[in-house]
Amino acid sequence: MDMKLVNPFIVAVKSVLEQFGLSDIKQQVVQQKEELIIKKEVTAYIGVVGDLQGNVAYSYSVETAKQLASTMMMGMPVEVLDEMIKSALAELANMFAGNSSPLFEMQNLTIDVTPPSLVVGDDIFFILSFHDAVTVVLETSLGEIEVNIELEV
Amino acid sequence: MDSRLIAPYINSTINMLKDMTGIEITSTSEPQNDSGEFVSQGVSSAIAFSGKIKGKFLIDLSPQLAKAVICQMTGETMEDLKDRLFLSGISELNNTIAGDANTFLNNTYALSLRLAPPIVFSGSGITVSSSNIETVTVLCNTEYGEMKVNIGFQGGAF
Repeated sequence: MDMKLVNPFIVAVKSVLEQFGLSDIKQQVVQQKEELIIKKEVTAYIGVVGDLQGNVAYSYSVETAKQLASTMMMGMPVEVLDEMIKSALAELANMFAGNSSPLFEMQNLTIDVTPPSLVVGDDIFFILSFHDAVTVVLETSLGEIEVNIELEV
Repeated sequence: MDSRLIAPYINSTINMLKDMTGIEITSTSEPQNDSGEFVSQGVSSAIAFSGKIKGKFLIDLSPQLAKAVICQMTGETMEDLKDRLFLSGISELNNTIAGDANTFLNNTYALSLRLAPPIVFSGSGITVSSSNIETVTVLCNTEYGEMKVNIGFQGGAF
């Protein structure tokens, strides 16, 4: 997949996290895949339609998800992924994807994102895509954030 | 939620399941408003869409029904719910149902809905939560077990 289509999603994630005070974000690896299977327990996904069609999924361990939610809520301790926390994590995905839209517009691409959903399970086999896709792993002080992208141009 | 947004998905589920697998839905429940999260029975596929209104559609099958669906679609018996070919079949079923329903909605109400590709997952104890979206679930019964159909639209109307 063309990195020009991947980068706006990554830049948007970094920018949103920086707004929450996370600055030390390292892009660890970019994995091009023939199909994309997600192994982490917590995934927020969003559909993309418009000039590009696909899905983008933000995946975390349970611990990282709790810490992300806590960071969003000004450091409030998060013990369990209850309904309110799940809603916050879905909203975070909305912010990630929504912030990528203007970056695509700079490439003359118009995208529209769908409402987010959050899928949680310890024992989950999750296929985001049966064709070419990309996973970008971001290393943060809260743990790994996987940005999983499948796009049809 | 506006019943005009629910009925096409139920009709397409009944028709496409029968066309693709020969399996009949013998009865359906009234749409139930969901409060909070959706709990999967074992095998689910979801598809999101956007146009004049944004929404999502999810089918959720019991393991027994999912196996029957795949057996009818492929002619092969598959037991592993975490097999990619197995899940590819469930994903294709969802794509066909949602495509049919959204075509009807677009042709009838000019909603200009465009679909993202389906995602699919299986496992135990999986929950699906949404943010800022009204969703309803309809239970569909078949001789092989239950299928839950979950329909969500932002604002619940157009």
